Amino acid sequence: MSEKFLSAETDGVFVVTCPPLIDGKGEQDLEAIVKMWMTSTADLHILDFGKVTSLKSTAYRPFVVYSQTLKQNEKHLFCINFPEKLLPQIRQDGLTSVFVPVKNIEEAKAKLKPAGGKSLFDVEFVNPFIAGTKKVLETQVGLKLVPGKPMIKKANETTFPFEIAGVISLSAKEFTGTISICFRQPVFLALYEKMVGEKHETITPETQDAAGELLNMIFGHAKTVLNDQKGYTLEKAIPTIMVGKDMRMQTKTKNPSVIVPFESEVGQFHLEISVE
Amino acid sequence: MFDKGTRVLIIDDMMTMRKIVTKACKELGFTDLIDAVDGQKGWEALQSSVPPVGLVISDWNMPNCSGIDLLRRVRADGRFKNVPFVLLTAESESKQVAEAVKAGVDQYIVKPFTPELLQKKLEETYKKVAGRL
Repeated sequence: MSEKFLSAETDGVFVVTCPPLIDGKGEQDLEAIVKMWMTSTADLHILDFGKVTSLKSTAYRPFVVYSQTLKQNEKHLFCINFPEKLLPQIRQDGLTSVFVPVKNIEEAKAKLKPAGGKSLFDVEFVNPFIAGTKKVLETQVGLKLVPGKPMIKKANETTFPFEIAGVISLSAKEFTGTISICFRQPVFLALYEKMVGEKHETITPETQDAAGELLNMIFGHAKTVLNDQKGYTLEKAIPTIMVGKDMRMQTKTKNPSVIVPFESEVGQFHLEISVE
Repeated sequence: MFDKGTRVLIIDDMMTMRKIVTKACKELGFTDLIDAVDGQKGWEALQSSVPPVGLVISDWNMPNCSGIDLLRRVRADGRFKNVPFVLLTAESESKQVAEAVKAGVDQYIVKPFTPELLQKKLEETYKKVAGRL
């Protein structure tokens, strides 16, 4: 190959410009190069086929591994400027799920989002819930919070245990889902004492609706921001309460959930947002 | 400001919030506080209360008659149409505020709130309704 693969990451998109001849047995070690591409943290990977005139079957395996690895990590691979003359080849060789042509990078980005262009993982969607949690706990409870880094929880995975959770169903034109605020008993009771001025030794029917009320206020704040300012269509909802010992949230959706942990002087608790 | 002996009716389906509002009102010096768990119970309390209710602080989203529906009922009834009515709610979307104003709310407080904010809003409510009481 007289030209080599060139890669660059811009605005969260990893772009590989492919050389005219793509050959697994060429000058460059394609498997090693693909392994390096897979270290990118970008959610969207693009192969630019604008210069490609030939795609040899010896190059198939590294690209199949690349495509599969990205999918396993909830990332996406598309091709731009894909030559029409190569389309019959990839169809015949069963590679249409590996080399997915799109018109341009914007079309690829749009394919990441559900209809309406609203994605759970847009910071614009999660941030109002984080801001709402800080505002509610600081104002109503007098508790300073430090939000942790949001984490992704895979579908059907369970994580942090809790004894009480407030849960609200999210319903919008673009999606449905749930948001939960989850506490271990000692953290919840300490928080309740700060908020209401009453000390309790265990969670009782008298105290448990505090979890729902906190989530109600957080949701109210986020809903106002998202609907009034960001064009979402979230509907009103009434919280439900879950109480038990060492419970763990498991959502039966195809999509992963976002977990946001919060640290405070009374301990840690977390928000969990799941969308379908 | 309202006389501290004014009977205040606090309406919210969440016990925690009824306790928080009660505590805040006590901190402001109010001594006669009653509560109800939903709009329907709030309506019944308004009708049966002796002495009469002098101030209503109600949540919006409740089963068995929401706060906004109770407000409309109150404003439509000659016996209670001038009762000062404050909506206390987690929602502050512009269309919701507009709906409350149209229904005749005297003040709209967005949760979360501090006792200082409640005091300020009640003082504004008193000034607004002083002419019609």
